[in-house]
Amino acid sequence: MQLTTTGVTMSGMAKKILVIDDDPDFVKSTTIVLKSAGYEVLEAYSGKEGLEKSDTDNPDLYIIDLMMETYSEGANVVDALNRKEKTKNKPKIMITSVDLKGPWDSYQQNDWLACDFLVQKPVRPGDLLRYVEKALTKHQ
Amino acid sequence: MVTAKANILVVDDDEMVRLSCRRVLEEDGYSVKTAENGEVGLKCFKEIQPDLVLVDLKMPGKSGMDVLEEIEVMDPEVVKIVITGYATVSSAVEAMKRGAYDFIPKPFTPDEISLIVARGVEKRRLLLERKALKNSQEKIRRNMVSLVSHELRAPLGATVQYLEVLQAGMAGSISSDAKELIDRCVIRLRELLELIGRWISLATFDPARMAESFEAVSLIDVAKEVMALLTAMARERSVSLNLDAPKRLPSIQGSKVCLQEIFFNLIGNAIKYNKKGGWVKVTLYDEDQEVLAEIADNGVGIPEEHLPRIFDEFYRVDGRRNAPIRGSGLGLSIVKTMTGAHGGRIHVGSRVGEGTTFRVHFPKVLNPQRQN
Repeated sequence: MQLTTTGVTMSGMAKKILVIDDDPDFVKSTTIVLKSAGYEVLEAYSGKEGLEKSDTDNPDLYIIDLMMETYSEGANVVDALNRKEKTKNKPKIMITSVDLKGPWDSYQQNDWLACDFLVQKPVRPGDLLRYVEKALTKHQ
Repeated sequence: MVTAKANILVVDDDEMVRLSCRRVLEEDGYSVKTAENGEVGLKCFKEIQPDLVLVDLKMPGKSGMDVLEEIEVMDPEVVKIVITGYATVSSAVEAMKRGAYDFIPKPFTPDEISLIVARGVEKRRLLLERKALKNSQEKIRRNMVSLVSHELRAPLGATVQYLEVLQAGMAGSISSDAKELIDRCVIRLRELLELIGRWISLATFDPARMAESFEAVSLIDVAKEVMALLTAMARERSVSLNLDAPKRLPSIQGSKVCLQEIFFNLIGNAIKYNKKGGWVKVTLYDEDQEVLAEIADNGVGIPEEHLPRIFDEFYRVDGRRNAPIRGSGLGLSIVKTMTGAHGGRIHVGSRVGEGTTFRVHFPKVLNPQRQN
């Protein structure tokens, strides 16, 4: 399996990714995958914590779970980030356990258009890294 | 919500009736608007959206019956009371057929109009309550389904991700024996995830509610979107995917999400039950009254004796638990159910070792009786 090495920027500084998910197992497995590709990883276990860390640590990319404290907490986080000058142009990937292929009508599709990708859990390590790479390149 | 100040609309060409109704009903605490004929009445109705309407049956111009009919279409929850000059049984019955709640014959006393309107307003309150209850029950049910789906998928997803991290050697090296076992774990768990998704789709499928969200859908768009989702899977298996459609294809009435589910299951199967270097062809045809979607593959095929039963829930041609290719067993029953709910029909033809073709016909125009 090929690993990407875009974790490191031209100046040698690792790109910072903030993972926001109330499922600690997802955070852990995702962190392992991202670190193995050379990224620096920050973790948050709620929408609130995620926004706080975003302010203090200025990540380069966000991976955000949809359902946390509330059914659409992830969408609220994306919304909040998009309303700030500092973060509205940063790449954001929404991930969810929700079955995206089913007759799903509890959420409007527009909730998700505000982020770069919507990915279904569980996501394979290679696929996740590909999404991250694409999102980072998109926003350069 | 209906409060003490319910909105009443009085439609009557008789000025005395309008005045006396206004006097009595405003005294009772209602907000009253009047109209002198059917046309004006309908215009007022659209503006104020009343809780209750009093309509005179005999008016010049637009008849009371026509007004009733048009109101029924605009708002079935509005309470309609007819005012009749001649309390004939037949006109009252006719009015009831058009959704009238009650009738009051002229001339009427202030008490009579007061009482009949009070009963009508109470009826309105109950209708609105029932509507609100139904909506909140629906919301709870849908949230329940999403909650259950999420609660089932989340722990499975977390487990699969850890296993795939191990598979990739990202948590230290593992022996090839260990890798083999982990590979099997991943396969079985991903199968389970698939099953949960399809089972919830099937169990919660409500044709009536789906029909409410029907809109014009282009099957070309649906096919393209689904094929994009399946490109990776096709590539992994070295199966080619092709779409052939006329430049202009009439749209059909349906639920885009459900049509995607239909295509996803059929095209997904065509890729899965195939061989390296095989192909899958999706062809769309414009056929007079229908649009035909044909999904063909040159894969393993289905033995003739199984064909009549492949749409049954959990029916599997190869029932072995370690069968080389294994699906949830629900995909085709979902396809059949959803196709039927769109007023369509599905046929299958197949030859073992040569391939399978599914043909799904969708009517261009929906005939309410055709939906089953």
